[in-house]
Amino acid sequence: MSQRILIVEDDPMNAKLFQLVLTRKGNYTIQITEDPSFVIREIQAGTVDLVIMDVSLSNSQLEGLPVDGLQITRRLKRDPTTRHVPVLLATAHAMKGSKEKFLKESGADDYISKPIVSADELLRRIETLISKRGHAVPPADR
Amino acid sequence: MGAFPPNHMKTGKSRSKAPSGGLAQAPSGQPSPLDIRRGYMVMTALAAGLAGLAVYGVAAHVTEQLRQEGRIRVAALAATIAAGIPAEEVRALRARQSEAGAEYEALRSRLVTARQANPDVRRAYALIPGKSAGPWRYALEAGTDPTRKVHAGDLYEGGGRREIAAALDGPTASRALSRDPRGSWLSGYAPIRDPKGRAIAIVGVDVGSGLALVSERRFRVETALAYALAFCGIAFTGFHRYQKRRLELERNRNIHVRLSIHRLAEAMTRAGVESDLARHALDAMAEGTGFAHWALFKRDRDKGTLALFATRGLNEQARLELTPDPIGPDSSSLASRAAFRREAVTGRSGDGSTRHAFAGEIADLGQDPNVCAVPVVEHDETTAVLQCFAPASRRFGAEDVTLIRWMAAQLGHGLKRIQLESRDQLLASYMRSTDEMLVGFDLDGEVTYANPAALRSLSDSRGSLHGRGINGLFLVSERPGAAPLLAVLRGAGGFSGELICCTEPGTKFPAEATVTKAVDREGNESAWVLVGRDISERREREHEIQTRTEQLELINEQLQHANDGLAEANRTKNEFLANTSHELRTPLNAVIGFATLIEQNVAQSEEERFSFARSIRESAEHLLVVINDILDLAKVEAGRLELALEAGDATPTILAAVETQRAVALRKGIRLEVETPAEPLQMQLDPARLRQVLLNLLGNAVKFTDKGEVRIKARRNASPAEIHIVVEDTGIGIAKRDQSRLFVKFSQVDGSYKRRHQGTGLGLVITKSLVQRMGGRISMESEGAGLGTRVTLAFPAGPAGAQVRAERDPCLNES
Repeated sequence: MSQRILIVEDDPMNAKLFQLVLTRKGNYTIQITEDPSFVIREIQAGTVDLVIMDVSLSNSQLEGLPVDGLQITRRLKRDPTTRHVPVLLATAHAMKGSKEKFLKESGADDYISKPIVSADELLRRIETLISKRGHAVPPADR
Repeated sequence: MGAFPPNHMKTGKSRSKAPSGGLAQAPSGQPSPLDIRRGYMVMTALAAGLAGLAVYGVAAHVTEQLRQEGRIRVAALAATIAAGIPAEEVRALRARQSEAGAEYEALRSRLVTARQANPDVRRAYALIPGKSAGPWRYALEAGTDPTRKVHAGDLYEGGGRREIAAALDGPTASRALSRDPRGSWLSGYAPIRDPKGRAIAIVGVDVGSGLALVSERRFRVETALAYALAFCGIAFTGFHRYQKRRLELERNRNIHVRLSIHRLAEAMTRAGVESDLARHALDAMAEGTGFAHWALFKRDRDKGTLALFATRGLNEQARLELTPDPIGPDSSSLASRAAFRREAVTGRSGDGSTRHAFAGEIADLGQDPNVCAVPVVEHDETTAVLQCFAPASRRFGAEDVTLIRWMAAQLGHGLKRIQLESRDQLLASYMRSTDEMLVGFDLDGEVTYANPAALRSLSDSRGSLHGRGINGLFLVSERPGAAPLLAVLRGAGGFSGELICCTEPGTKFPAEATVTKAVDREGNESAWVLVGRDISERREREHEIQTRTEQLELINEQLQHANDGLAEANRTKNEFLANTSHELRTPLNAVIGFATLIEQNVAQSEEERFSFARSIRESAEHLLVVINDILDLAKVEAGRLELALEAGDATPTILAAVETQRAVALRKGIRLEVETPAEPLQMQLDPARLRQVLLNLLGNAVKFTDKGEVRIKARRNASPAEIHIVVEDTGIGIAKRDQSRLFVKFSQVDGSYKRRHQGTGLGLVITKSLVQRMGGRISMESEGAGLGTRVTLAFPAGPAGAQVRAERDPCLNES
């Protein structure tokens, strides 16, 4: 059974690109969404192996308030029922210091900047994150 | 003269008494009264002596003549008697030489008769010469003195024998008077001659000298009287002349003293500085008193000691020795003693009463001079000591001391005057120099004094405050009905605070003033004194400072604002850069990603490959829009945005812009309305840039509106003549606090990453710049978040209904 990846992305063009790359070049099941509640639910259902999270989100709302990718990630990482799933920040915010700042603020597991020049690099990162997660004990199993 | 301190009066003598040699030394060139008196006494004695000699001579001569006359008379008497005696009787008597016989008796009776005939005759006798003119013997005698009865033949023992002998030749008389207890007498002798003319006997007659003596005595008395008279005359004349001369001298001297006193007084009133005054005073004193050597000591009020201030006639050595010791009861120096006792002290240099035993001899003064020290006393306090030196031979008389004291008092007045004058001058200079107004008023509020500062500030052009009262010059308040200053003063007894000063020309200025009641020496309230300072400058300064402070605060605020703005701008710029980077990277991600998919032949169909290529193109186009926005902004920044302005109708541009947004609006399900007037909207415009502006505004309106409508209205405003284009929506609106940031570069209303709407945030900045370059202005209103937005553009209208002008506005053409 292929591993399932959630992609939180507001730009349809980029979302489609992620889907194509990850389904065609890697054997992953992909779900694209802008809804943080859906992400939380899916993770809590134990059907998610990885989240690829954009930072700038135009349409995402959580509990009635607009949120960005960092806030969603922080929410995920704070919640014991969701924190075990690795989050990869994939964003076009690539100024100097952005990576460190975002990782620290959000608690995300990794960061990759857009444009993603190498699809292979992306896949390698994802594979690494998922394999690390394999060692971790999901809270649900405890 | 009332200036003499009382304790000086006890030794004072009235000046009305004529000085009797008390002034020891007359001024040079004049004899002293003593010398004059001595001279006149000698002269008088000489005259009296000479007169006595003359009288004596005359008297002696007259007496001698009187006596001569007596002798002649006596001799004649003797001759008369002798002639009455017959020679033969005498011869008979001579021959017998005894008293017996008739001849004797006859002869004797003749003599007695003769004697009795002349009451002056005391004795008559006849003498017969002895042998060889030897001793004379009495022939007979008829005397009145029974105790001296002589007898014929008795030896003649009386005097005058030479005259007797001489009587042989003729009548003679004794030269001098003879005396016995019964009196004095003259003796006359005459010969008794025989018929042959030979002298056979001598008749002697003693005549009492009573008469002669009486006349002589009378003569002597008369002479003495005459001499006494003459002496009195001489003495009187001498004394009179002496007195006259002395009075003349005294007058001269008085004139002299008065002149010197006048000089002294003049010096006391004229001299401007103490040293001049002292010099003139000492000169005048020397002239007035005749004493040439003087010293003046001044008392140092702080130290209480005397210090030499001026000298006259004293050499350097003497001056060095004039150092008085401290003032006290046991002071050794005469000056200090006089200063302590506050009365004149005299002494002598050599007698230990003074320390001034000058080692060096001073001309005209000699050794051990007499010293007189007189204090100058003011209010029972010695302020100076005047010291006078006189040669040892001249003691200071009471007159001298009085005069010196008087002069010292004058000197004191002079010193006091200079002190007062210098204090007055000092005060006057203070009054002149100060900028404080000082005005004196009497108790009725009339001006009695105003210093120059007050005159300058308050007076009219004539520089006078004449006829102006305190209430006219100063106001407590400008409020109508405010109490006048004088009333305030009378009520409160003074005033301190701010007054309004009214100048003669009618202007007013504020002053800070104090008015106090002045009290005279007797302690009576006599005047009001106002001291004040013009504070209008201070007021102006305060006002200026206030203004400046406000300005500074404003500037500070602006700076703070600018600083905040700068910080904000910096932050915004960083945000913008991040956003721009993001906006460029996002389409680039798609471009690179899809290009990679094509390259790696991921597409499962030809159609999918085409869709990849389309995605690349669309992303690249979006990229171009972003790049254009950034370039436009760069031009705005650099001021190089090119506009091709021309006069024209804005309506077609508006309609075209609306059409481009119609599809998007339709997709979002919102209405898009447009209202334009029938007549053309004439204005200066660059159609392409106006289109850009309208697209931006409409794009925003559509983008931020999820339901409802977007409406664009264009119309011509009459006054001012403007074209108004309004874009309204029912979208998310803008919070009040964010409205000011709308037209600021690099700013998006929401700076976080949860941006719902893509865009660089440059649209409105570029829009505003374009509108302004077309001569218009842009404003945006929103009642708040969620309440929709209205953007209004206003451009200057061209002439209503006018033809489109071919030529461009030269002004606008420049840009």
